[in-house]
Order: sequence, then C-alpha cells, then structure tokens
Amino acid sequence: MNDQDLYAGALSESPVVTVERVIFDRTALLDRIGGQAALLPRLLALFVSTVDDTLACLERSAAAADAVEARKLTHTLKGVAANIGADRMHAVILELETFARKGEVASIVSGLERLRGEYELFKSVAHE
Amino acid sequence: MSDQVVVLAVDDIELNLTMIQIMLGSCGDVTVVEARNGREALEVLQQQPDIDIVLLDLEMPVMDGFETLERIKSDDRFREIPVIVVTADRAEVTKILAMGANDFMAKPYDPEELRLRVMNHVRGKKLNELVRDMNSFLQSEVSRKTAELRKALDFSRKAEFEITVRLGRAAEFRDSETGMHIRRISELSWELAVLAGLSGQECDILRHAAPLHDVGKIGIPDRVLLKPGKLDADEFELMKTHTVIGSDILSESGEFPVIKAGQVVALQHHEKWDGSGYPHGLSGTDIHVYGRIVMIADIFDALTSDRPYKKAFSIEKAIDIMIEGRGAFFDPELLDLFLDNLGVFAGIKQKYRDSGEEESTGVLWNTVAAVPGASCS
Repeated sequence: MNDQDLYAGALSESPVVTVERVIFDRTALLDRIGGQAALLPRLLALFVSTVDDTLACLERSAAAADAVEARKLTHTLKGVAANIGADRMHAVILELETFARKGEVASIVSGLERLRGEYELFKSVAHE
Repeated sequence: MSDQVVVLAVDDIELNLTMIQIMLGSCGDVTVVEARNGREALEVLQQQPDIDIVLLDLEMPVMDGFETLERIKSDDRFREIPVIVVTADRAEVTKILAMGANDFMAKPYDPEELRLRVMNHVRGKKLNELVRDMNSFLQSEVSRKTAELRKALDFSRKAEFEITVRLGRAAEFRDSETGMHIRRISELSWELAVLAGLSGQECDILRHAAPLHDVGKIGIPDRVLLKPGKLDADEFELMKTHTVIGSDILSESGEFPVIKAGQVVALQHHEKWDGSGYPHGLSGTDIHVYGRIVMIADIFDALTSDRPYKKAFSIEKAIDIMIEGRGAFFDPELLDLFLDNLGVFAGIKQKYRDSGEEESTGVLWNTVAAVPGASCS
C-alpha cells in the first residue's frame, strides 16, 4: 500500500468508527436521513440493485484483467457502501481498490469472493 | 435575495442522488435537480439559470467530474456557481481545488454538514449577485442622471442663446433691421474669431453674443433712431449712448458667459484702435478682442448692404474703405486676417443676404460716414 492509499483509506474511515466494524450501521444511516425509517426499504433496494450491477461488472473486468475499469467500479462501490453504512463491505472494498490501483488482478479475484460473502451478510442483517 | 435554493446534484448512482434528495430535500427551501453525468449537468445549467450550487461526483460515465468542473469554471455563464465536489477519495482534493472547485465533501457525509456547506456557498453567491445587481443598478442610475444633467445643461445653454437672439431681434425690430443682419454679424464674427485663433469655446460664445451688439438701441428715442437723415451733434451724442445702454442691460451676468460677452460687445463695438472711438475712447488691445472683431464685422456688413440713402457698395469698394481705416479704426492684425480670407466673408454675406429691402440705421450710417473715404463715396 503506498502513501496515497494509506491516506485515502485513513480518511475514508469515519473518525468515530470503533475497532469492531459493523455489518450494517443502521443507526448512523437513520441519523443521516433524519430518522425517516420509512425510507430504509427504498434506500436498501437501491443499494442492492447498485451493488448487484457493479459487482457483476467488477467480476467481468477482473476476468478481463482490466485493472483501470476495476478501479472505477471499486470507487463506485466504496461510495455506496459508505453512504448506506455497510462498514465491513466498505473495508473490503478499500482493499479491492488498492489491488486495482496496483493492477493486482489475482488479488481482486480473491477479494471479490470475500466481498460477496460480506454482501450476503449485509443483506441478511439489513432485511431483518 | 431569494430564499429558495436550487441544488444541482450530479452523480451516476441513484442511491447517492436519493441520499442527497433526502438530506437536502427535507429543508423546505431547497429544491434538488438531478443529473446522471457531466453532459447532463451542463445541459441542466443551460436550461435552468436559477441553479445556485452544484454537488458534483467525480467518477461518472459519459463525462466525468473533472471535465465537468473544468467546463463549468471556464464558462462565463457558470463560473460564479459554487461547485462542491463529492468524492469518496480525498486524494483528489488538491487537484479539484486547484481546478476551481469551491469545496469538497467525502462520502458518507454528515447531513447537517452538507446543508451548512451548501447554504454557506449559496449565501456567498447570492451576496455576490446582490452586489453585482446593485453595481449595475447604480451604474445605470449614474448614467441616467448624467444624461439628464447633460440635457438640462444643453437646455440652459440653448435658453441663453435663445435669449440673446431674441434680445438682439428686439433691438433690431425697433430699428427696422432684418434678422439677416444679426445672422451675418454672428457668422462673420465667428469666422474671424476662428481665424484669430480663439478657442472653440470662445468662438461659440462670440457667435451667440455678437447679435447683442446693438441691443442698447432699445433705449434710443425714435426721433433719433429713425431719423431719415444725418444726425446733428446732439443727436449723435445721444445715439452713442446705445453702447452704454446695451452694456447696462446686459450687466451683472457673470454666470452667463454669452450674456457677459454680449455686454463687452455692446459696450466696445464702436471703440477704435487709435482711441478715437466711443464710449470710453479705449485703444489697441485695451479693447476686448470680441469688440474689435464685431466692429470689423459690423462695418463690413453696413458697407455692403443697401440703405435707403445709398446702394450697397461693392465688396471691392468696401474693402478699399476699410483698408483706409487700418490701424486707425481696426486692429491691423484682425483686418489683415479679414482681408486675407475675404472669400469666406463674402460667402457669408451672400449666403445670408437680405430677401427684402432694409431701412436706414442712423448708427451704422454715422459709423460708416466716419470711416475715411466712406463719406465722400
């Protein structure tokens, strides 16, 4: 990880985050949307559709060894994960982004598996 | 300043746009307009001039945030619209600020911070607009007032000119002179003033003041003014007072340059270079140049005009008579200028010739009769 990545990674983390990352920080999300719990299903649905599409694209670009495209896609995932409060997904995506920057396609492929796992966890927790 | 704020949110991910809608849309005074990429954003900016601020994502298809930012900040129409770059990647901050972005925010942003930053930038923009509007309003007010003042000044100048012409006409009316005499004296004097090198302003003043030269005739009794023959000594003394009467009529006119010049002309247009003129027997350059100029114009016009008691002299004859008076009657330098440019003056005489017959003027006759050579013609 180079200095820039360290910087980006460090700053992308919320300063109040605890060591133990949560799968879905529902409280923080509710805070950001003014406590309007009724909006949660809509936001979660948007998140899921975005991640589904983006993950599919990311898998294709990894298969095609297209690190530039992979970096753009991890960037998108990073943004939506941060927005929805998917903290553990966010941490994995940061790693993926670093691999993409370095052009380490093999690492992206293995990272993607972990991300898929975290994503499934998120969905199960979020839909509780 | 309008309280309504219109935000253009530019992001290709619907979740992000929805979050912005939720965060800002809950404030009653904020409207969020969406665009999915830079090209769409530029189209919205062109169509909606009421956009107050742009929230710009960087990674987008079609046109990314960097190009969009560059286009906004290099376009005179949009440059003043604040742009907050919304990025998941703070490593880009220096670059986007250098490109002219007004601020940046990292995802996930705190809704209160987002609202405050948006409102701060919008307030700054609206204050700038207010200042600009005030400036252009003040500028147009100043232009309008200046134009009004100029109009008023022109009008007062015209009024002054008009008064001088009417006064001159009033005097000539009693004297049965035609308005053309006044016009000729005006033009002849102006031309000679130009040749003598007077400033443009002085020439214009003299042009309008010259018609006042005989205004004092208003105070001369009819038996003298309208006497159809040569005046006796007493009558001539009385006639001479038209210079002083004219000066009195036009006195204390310090604020009105034309009337002030008219006073000088009325008082001095019978003063002679050698000091033998009236009313004060001034000589040489003690006689104001206006007086010296009008004297030449007045005598030339008298000599070359028909009178009941004489036909108009030819220009040649008139010139012979005037040359006789060089240095005695007339400022020799001015007379030389007059003679060297005789064509111009003869042209004026022709252009403003009388259409009907003129009647006698005792003053002019006496003036002419006193020019050496004139009396024996």
